[in-house]
Amino acid sequence: MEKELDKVVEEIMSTPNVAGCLVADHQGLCLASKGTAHVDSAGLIVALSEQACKIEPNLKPPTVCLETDNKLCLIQRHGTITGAVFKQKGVA
Amino acid sequence: MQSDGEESLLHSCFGSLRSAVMGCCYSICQKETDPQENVVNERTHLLEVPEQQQETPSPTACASTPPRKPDEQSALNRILHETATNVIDVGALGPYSLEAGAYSERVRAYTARAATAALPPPMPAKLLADLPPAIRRQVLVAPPMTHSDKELITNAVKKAASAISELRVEHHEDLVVPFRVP
Repeated sequence: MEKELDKVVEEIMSTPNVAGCLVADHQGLCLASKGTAHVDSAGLIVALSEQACKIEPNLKPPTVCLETDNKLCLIQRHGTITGAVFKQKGVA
Repeated sequence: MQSDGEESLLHSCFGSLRSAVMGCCYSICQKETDPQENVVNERTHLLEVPEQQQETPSPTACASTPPRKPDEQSALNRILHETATNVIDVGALGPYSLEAGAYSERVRAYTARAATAALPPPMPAKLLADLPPAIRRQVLVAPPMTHSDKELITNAVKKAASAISELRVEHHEDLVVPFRVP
């Protein structure tokens, strides 16, 4: 049933510098996870994006970016699905 | 009669003690080991019950009607007192409290020992810490996210959402099947 979703996740993983990818539903259930993304982090990621949406409820869902020195995690919501992409920071 | 009352009380005490202390009564009533053996194990009889008064194996019968003999009284008493001295009734100990002198002495002793132990102070958990103002300004001024990253995540999530909306169950067989019992 999830062939399409797997294809999309594979496509994301094949992007250069991407180390992990995670897709979760509105309740925090992990639908797909690959690479360095951990299944257990789905709930946390969804909660973060939910809280971020509350900052400006009238605007469309914001993108949350968690940065460290070398890596970053991008989180965004689209409808009921929240996606997260873990990638290495591009050489600046 | 007082002696009868005492005797029945002793018997009931003995009965409950026996079930508590010696486990299964059945193992006591059963005579499986050689009585001539002098080895003390879980099967040795505490009371010397003579052959002619052996009960038929029955756990409840054993517990409620032990063989009645006069010299059994002393044996019952002995067992009762042995168990009473061995049993520690935690519930009846009552509240335990230290005297003021003993308490302050212990405080002194423990603080002295803790001081000599020399543990490092526990590190405070650092989940989120404020950056110093200089670095803060630098970080806030820097561009938030590259445009390509933004595109990446937006497209990724859009595609994932559309892929999930296409999830559907593929019917191969009937779900409801009639039982054809001949």
